[in-house]
This record gives sequence, C-alpha cells and structure tokens, in this order.
Amino acid sequence: MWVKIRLWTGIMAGLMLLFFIQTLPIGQKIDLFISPLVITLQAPARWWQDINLWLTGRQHLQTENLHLREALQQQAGTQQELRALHAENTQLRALLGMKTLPGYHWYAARVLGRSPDKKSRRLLLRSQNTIRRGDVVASSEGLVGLVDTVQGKYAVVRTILDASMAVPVTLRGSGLAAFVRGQGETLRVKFIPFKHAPPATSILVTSGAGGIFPPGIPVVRIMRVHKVQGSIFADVDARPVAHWRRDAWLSIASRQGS
Amino acid sequence: MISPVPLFVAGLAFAGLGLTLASGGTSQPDWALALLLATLLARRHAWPWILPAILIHDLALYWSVWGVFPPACLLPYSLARLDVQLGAGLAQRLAWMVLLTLPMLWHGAGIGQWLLTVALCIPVWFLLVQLYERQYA
Repeated sequence: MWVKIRLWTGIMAGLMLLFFIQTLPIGQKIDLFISPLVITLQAPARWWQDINLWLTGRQHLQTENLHLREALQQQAGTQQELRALHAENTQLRALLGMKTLPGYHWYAARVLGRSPDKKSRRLLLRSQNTIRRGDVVASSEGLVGLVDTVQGKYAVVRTILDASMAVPVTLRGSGLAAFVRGQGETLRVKFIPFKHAPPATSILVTSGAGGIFPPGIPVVRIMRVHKVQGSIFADVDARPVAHWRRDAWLSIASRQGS
Repeated sequence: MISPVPLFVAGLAFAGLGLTLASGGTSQPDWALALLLATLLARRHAWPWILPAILIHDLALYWSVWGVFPPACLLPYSLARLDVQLGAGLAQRLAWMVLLTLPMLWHGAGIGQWLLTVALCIPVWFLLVQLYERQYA
C-alpha cells in the first residue's frame, strides 16, 4: 500500500516536472551550446569544397573564364535594364505610398544547420553583426521567420512553418487582413472571408500589424481556397514564398535603435 | 573501478546530436537516440544517466519533453517485470526498441530515418552487451 502511494506520488511529481520543463526554453539553449560542435562537424565538407577548388584544372578554369566573360557581358546589359526598372519601381513605390522598410537595418547571416523535424524547421544562423531576439529573417524571395534565441553571434530561428508563429498578412492593394499560421509542411491562412478570398497563386505580404514584422515582405502563395459549410471564413492552404531550405545565406532585419 | 562505457557512449551521443543538427536535410539515423537506446537495452541498470541524456536529446531535437523520454522512463521497470514473468529474452527488448523509436515518426522523422535508427541501434546494442559481459566477467 505504502509502496504504491510512493510510486504514484513519484509519477505525478515527474509529470509536473516535465510540464514545468516544457515551458522553459531549454531546447534552444542546448542547440546554441552545440552550435560550435555543428560548425566543427561541417568542417570536413567545407575542406572538401576548398580542395575541389584547388584541384580544378587550368583548362577547366579557362573555359569557365570564357563563360564568365560572356555571362558578364550579358549581365552588363541586364544591369542597365535593371537600373531603368529600379528607377521606375522607385517612382511606382512613391506613387503607392510604400516605404522601403524605414527604421530597419539589414545584414546577412550564414545558415549553419536546419533542424531535422518537419514540424517547425528551425534554423541555426551565424552572423558577424549583433543579432537580437525578435529580429526578422528573410530570404531574397520572402519572409523566413523570427529570431527565437540568441547567444553571441549564433541564433536559433523559428520559421513561419512553426505552429506557434502567426504572421499578420494582407494582399497588396486591398484591405484584406488575415493571419498565416504554420502547419509543419504547409501554411494555413486564417480569417479570410470566402467572398473576399484572393484566387490561387496570389501572394500575401506582411501587413505590419502588431509591429513585429515590417510591412510589404512576401510571405505565402495561396494554393487552394475551400468553402467551409456554416462559416463565413474560407479554408485557405498556402506555401511559403521563400525557399530557405537550400539557401546558405539569409538576411536579418533588425529594428534600428532597439 | 568506474566503467569507461558511460562516458564513451555519452560522448558519442553528444557528437551524434551535433551530426544530426549539422545536416538536418540529409537522410541519416538519429545517432544519439540509437546509441542511448542500445545502451539502455544492453544494460537497463544504466537508466540513471541514460534517461537524462534522452531528455536532453528530446529537448535539443524536438524542443519538447514529450518525445522518447516518457516511454523510456517505463522501460527499466517494465523490463524487470517482464524478465521475471517471461524469462529474460530478446522479444520484449525488441518490442521496447520499436516502441521507443516510434515517437521519432510523430516528431516528423521519415520512415527511412526511423529504419536507419533501428538498424544502427541493433548492432550497437549487441556490441555493448558483449562489452558489459566482458567487463563484469
């Protein structure tokens, strides 16, 4: 009898301890602690790349040089076109009253590792600049996530696929206000009235509501819109615009003066 | 004399954790989990250091305590009971090994990664059994 009471008391105390531990950010701290080991383990792959570069033959380099010259010529033309487009874009932005993210300072960060779980797809970053908790992480295509934990120059990023993230979004040029929530593999857009639901392939951007994410960053591309019986809101499936799974470098937007 | 096996396995499991984090995209076993489970199956009395190590594994990879740790806590007690009732055998240990690796699937690991983990766990388990036998002989 006494033994049974002790056993059950032990189990209950253990469960309570687990619930308490779950609320603490211990996982993030462990990941940051391991990050120097992760860099060390990646070193052979980096050395292999360096050695491959050294061993590339002269002939191959000459051919590559010719191709690069051709590409450079083509790029010069493209750059000219880009300048014209940039000027046009600046004018259009001014017309639309859009801002080029004032109050934010952008810098690059190297992707050190990706978590293997398919639910949150966390990233481990390293930057030469000072990363702050809550900084916004984006790729050249769109929003990636938010810095969750920082230790020195290392940071753990919670991506938008994480179920705990809710990103306020809108459709450019409309008054639509919705939330994007992570589902692991895909994303779900919440609170879109079926009548005003944007069509598939539309791109939703950050609305800036709540002040966490700067406005105007592309977030998701709508895949499917379903009508839900008895609800005014549509069931909207979406995919991230950014493809950070293969990007080695990402951008971090840090609020100036914070 | 203090056994060097726990320190050796813990060190390897720590390196395995780093390896899993370093190449999150490629298909590879959960090195740390395979090593820790193999040790627990080889010697259930090793639970005082294996269970905290499994908890650290769960927190580092899943950011959750509800992974392999809760069922792993039941293993030492359950194996002792089963060994008394059924006689010491492989069947209950194999069943426990499969049961303890299942939370991986729930936390997003693919079938391939699960199979690789099980495939790594079995030889390490037998190796450790031999090591422990030699040590206590």
